[in-house]
Amino acid sequence: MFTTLLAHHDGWGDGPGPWALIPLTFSLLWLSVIVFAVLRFRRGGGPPWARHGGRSVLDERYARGEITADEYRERRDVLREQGR
Amino acid sequence: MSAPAASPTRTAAARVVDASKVYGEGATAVVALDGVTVDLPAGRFTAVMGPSGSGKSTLMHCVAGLDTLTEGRVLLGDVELGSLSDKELTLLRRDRVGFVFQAFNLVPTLSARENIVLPDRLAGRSPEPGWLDEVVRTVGLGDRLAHRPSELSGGQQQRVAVARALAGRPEIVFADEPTGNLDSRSGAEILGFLRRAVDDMGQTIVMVTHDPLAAAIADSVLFLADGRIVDHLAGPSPAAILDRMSSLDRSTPDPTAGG
Repeated sequence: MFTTLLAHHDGWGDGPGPWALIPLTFSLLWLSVIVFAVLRFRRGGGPPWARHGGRSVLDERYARGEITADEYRERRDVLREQGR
Repeated sequence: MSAPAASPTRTAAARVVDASKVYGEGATAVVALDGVTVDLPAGRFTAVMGPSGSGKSTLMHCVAGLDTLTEGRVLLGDVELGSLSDKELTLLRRDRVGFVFQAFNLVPTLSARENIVLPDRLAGRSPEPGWLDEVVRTVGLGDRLAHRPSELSGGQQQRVAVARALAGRPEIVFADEPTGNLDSRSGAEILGFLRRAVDDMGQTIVMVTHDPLAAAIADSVLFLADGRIVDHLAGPSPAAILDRMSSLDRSTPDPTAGG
C-alpha cells in the first residue's frame, strides 16, 4: 500500500522512489548492531553487562598487585573460555 | 604549661612493631623479617633498600596488607592489620592504599583514563573531578587519556599507574621498583612525579628500590639486610647511598661463596 501510494506521486517519476531506502536503511542498522554485539562479545570475553563479575574482580586484584601479570593473563583467559 | 617539643615527631602513616616473617617450617624455614620496628612518617617520601633477599619487598607487602606477619604488628593509620579479616583487608587496601608496580599492572583492555578511575569505580566512588584533573596534570597525561596501555610508552604507562595510585587520595602509596622497567629519563620523570605528590599534595610514599639515584629523591632511606633494619639515612645523596650499599654487600655473606 505504501508503494502504491508513492507510485501515485507524480513528482517522483517511475518506481517506488527514495522512500524504499527507509526499510533498507533500517535493516542495515540492525545488521550493524548485531555485528557489533557479536564482535564485542567475542573480543571482550563476555557481553558488556557481564563484565561486572569475575572480570572486574580480576582487574582490581591486578591493579592492586595481589596477582602478577602472568596470573592475570592466565585467569583472564580462563574467564574468556568460560564466557564462550 | 608544657612547651611543644623542638622537633615534634611526625605522625606515622604506618607503624611496624617487632615484625617477623618466616616462610616455611623447620629446617627449610626462611626468615624474611627478623624483628623489624619502624615508623613510616606521614607526608614523607621513604625509600627502602637492601640486597636481594634482605626482606625489603616482604616488609612492603606486609605493611600494604598483601601479606601477613608471622609475629608482630602493623598499624596503618590507627588500624591494626592483624585484626582484620580478608574482606576487611581488601576494603582497607581499596580505600586507603595506592600501589605502583615495576610492571605497571594496567588493565590492557581499558583506556588510560579508565585505568586511572578503576579503583574508584570498583569502590563505588565517583572520582572528584577537580582532583582527578590535578593528578592527570601532575603526571602530564592530558592528551593521552583515551589511549590503551599498548599504545603508550613504558614511561607513559607508569605515569598512568602513578595517576591511578594518587586518584583515590590514599593515606599511603607503595611503589615497588617503580623505575625498574624504565629507561633512565622516563625513570627520572616518574620519580619527579612521586616527589611532587609528596611536596605538593602531602602524599605519603614508601618506595622499594635498588637504584641509589631513585632512593636519593626520598626524604630518608631505610636499609635492610637479613630481615633487619641496619641503617637509616636522612636527606641522602646518591654517593652516600652507594657507599652504604657497598658496605652492606661486603658484610652480607654471599650464599654462592660456598663454605
